[in-house]
Amino acid sequence: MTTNKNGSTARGPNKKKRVVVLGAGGQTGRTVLTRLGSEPSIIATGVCRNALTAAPLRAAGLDVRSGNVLDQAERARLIGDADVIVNLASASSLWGQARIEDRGVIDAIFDSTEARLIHFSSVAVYGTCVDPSRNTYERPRPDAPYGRDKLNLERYAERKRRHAGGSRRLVILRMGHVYGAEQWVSRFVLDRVNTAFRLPFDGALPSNAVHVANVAAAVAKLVRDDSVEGTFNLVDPGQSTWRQVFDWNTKTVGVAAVPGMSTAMSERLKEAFRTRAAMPVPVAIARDVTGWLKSLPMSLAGAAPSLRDLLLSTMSTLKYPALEQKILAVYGEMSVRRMTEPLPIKNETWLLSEAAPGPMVDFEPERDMPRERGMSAADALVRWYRGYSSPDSLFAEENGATAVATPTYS
Amino acid sequence: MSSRTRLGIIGAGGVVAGFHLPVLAALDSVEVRWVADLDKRRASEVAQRFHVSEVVTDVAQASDVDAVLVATPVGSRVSLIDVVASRRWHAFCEKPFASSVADHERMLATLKKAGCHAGIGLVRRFYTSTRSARHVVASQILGPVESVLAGEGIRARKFGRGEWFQSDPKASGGGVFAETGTHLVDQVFNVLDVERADLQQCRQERVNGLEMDTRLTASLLLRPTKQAVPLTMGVSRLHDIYNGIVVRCKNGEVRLPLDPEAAVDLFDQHGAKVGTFPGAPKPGIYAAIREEWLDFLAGMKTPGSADTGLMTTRFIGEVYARATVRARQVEAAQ
Repeated sequence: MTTNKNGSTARGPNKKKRVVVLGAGGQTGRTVLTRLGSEPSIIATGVCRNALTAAPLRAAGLDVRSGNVLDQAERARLIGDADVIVNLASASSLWGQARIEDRGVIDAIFDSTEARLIHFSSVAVYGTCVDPSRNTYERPRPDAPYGRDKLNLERYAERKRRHAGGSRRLVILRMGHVYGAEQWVSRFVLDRVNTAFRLPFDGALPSNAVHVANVAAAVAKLVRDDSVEGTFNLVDPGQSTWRQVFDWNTKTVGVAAVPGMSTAMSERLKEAFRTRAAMPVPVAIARDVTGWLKSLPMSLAGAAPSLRDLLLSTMSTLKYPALEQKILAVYGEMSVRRMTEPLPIKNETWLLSEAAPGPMVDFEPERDMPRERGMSAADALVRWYRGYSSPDSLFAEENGATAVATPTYS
Repeated sequence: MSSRTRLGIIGAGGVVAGFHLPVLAALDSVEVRWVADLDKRRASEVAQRFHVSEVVTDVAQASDVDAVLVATPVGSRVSLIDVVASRRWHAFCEKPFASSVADHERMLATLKKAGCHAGIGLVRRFYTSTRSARHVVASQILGPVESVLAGEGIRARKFGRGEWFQSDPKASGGGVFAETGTHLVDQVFNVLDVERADLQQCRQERVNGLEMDTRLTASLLLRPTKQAVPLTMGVSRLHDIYNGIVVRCKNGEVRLPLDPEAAVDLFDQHGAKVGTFPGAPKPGIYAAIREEWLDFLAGMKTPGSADTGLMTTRFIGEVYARATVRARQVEAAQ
């Protein structure tokens, strides 16, 4: 038996482990907390920032503490008795404040507990469009603020671990794109059914996606196995393709599949996104500023009526029809360029990524497990989808819809 | 003497700093004189950000103004309005206006007696989309209304650090239906031009006394046609539910999203989209808040002329009083 910094005692090898999940109120937290709570050797407790965020978890019968782990006076109550801490927390403040808060959580864990830490990062550290020719496991090169912040926080956690000496154990999980009930990828997929959206390469590329049930399964495995340390990617075992992810969602809820994009357009998109992702920041800024400067004369004439009038008066005075025609032609071309979207996908660069490089967490997937621990993943997706997509579900009972009351006025 | 309306701000919370003050700072016809909050530090931060010189913790001691924005939790309003009325200040109250019909009527009577105008921050009345939907319904181009469905809510996830008034049943008026559902209820009443609303079935889920989910059916009497139509509504912080208002008519459907910038879509009986009314250009919420302030300022000339949402308050009160409640009382985890 060993004593923690706050005086509590850690449990021996045959006792249950106390696992505290920070950020339990977030996207994946509830599933992780529920899954951990089903393990006979684990006492799982979630931590949420306040009673409001904790309420849905409490309503579901989960064990939750609410409070601010950044507050020194609260730390002992919130995390002091943890044997393992799963850090899913991510600040929602503005940028600098968010970095302060995220680091503050790491500080709280290392300074106030002896717990083993399972820290969640993201495959975004490899960039918005993963290109293994320039983004390696050892040297990830994020190209956007989110990925940079995540990598920064990983390195901060590593420094804290080294500073704490060899006794502290740390697992960093670079989580992929999460799908399943209440997850953003599934919402993305289902919102694109019956629209003009087309799936690049017909979904043949590796997705770096992970079902939320698999996130929970991986965490459970890592909690059980104390020997695992290091940094791993967390994606569906075997690496699902986008077609597999998209089809799982559409087939499960019973809607049309999302059609594929032509290979030619897909290649064009991939080239454009990879080039953009690989562009050094100064070059990208120079390119964007140049484009803006080129648009200035016309946009200025449009935005400044007095200048436009001066231009028209000048043209009348010059009596130079060829120049007038040239100006009209340039204006017409610029107008068309502004209106035309050259690429059918602007922001979903992750659809054209290659597989995240480096080791993956080894675990048994649970997405398709039969209904043993509550609702199956498929049932949960269907229920969630119907809930948010159909107004007729607003007063539906669990096993069927309640009839809408008939009017009472004569 | 300045021709600008002098304003005081009571309550330095997020809705003031994030929405009202940016709009008021850009209105040439008003001058914000002071910010009041029990938390002096918070009031000072907000005042500094918006170049307001005076900060107070006791409204009774604040310098004289023409009108105030009352943006404190609804559970604290009644006594504040007594102070406001005693100073003869017009009052623009954030929603919900009051926790109960009795409080609502008392506050209105207090302000009326003092000759003060009362306004309410039910900003969705000023959304382009709300107006478009109201026109479509009134015109009956899709035929008479047959039913209405309205929902708002997602599972509570990120609400910042620390407890705030929305975690307190008393301060928030009961929970999500009073705090957030006020907007949805009033928006439905506005779009349909409802004369009367009668609750029929209602169930709520509460956690430690805080209402987190309400589902109901009701009957709405429409003013123009004297027609009765059924309403199905849900407001939730426990689940991701349908967000929007759907007005089902004999020949089609009007779908109104809750985002002020979103478009209102019309569908025929077969589900095909047949028309779109664009929403407000970005940032739509600021345009709507600006309009509601201009409406309030104009209304100061005829105190008591505004609809402060008494029917909404009555309906919400009835919901809390008659709901079948599933309550979970949870001890904090040890």
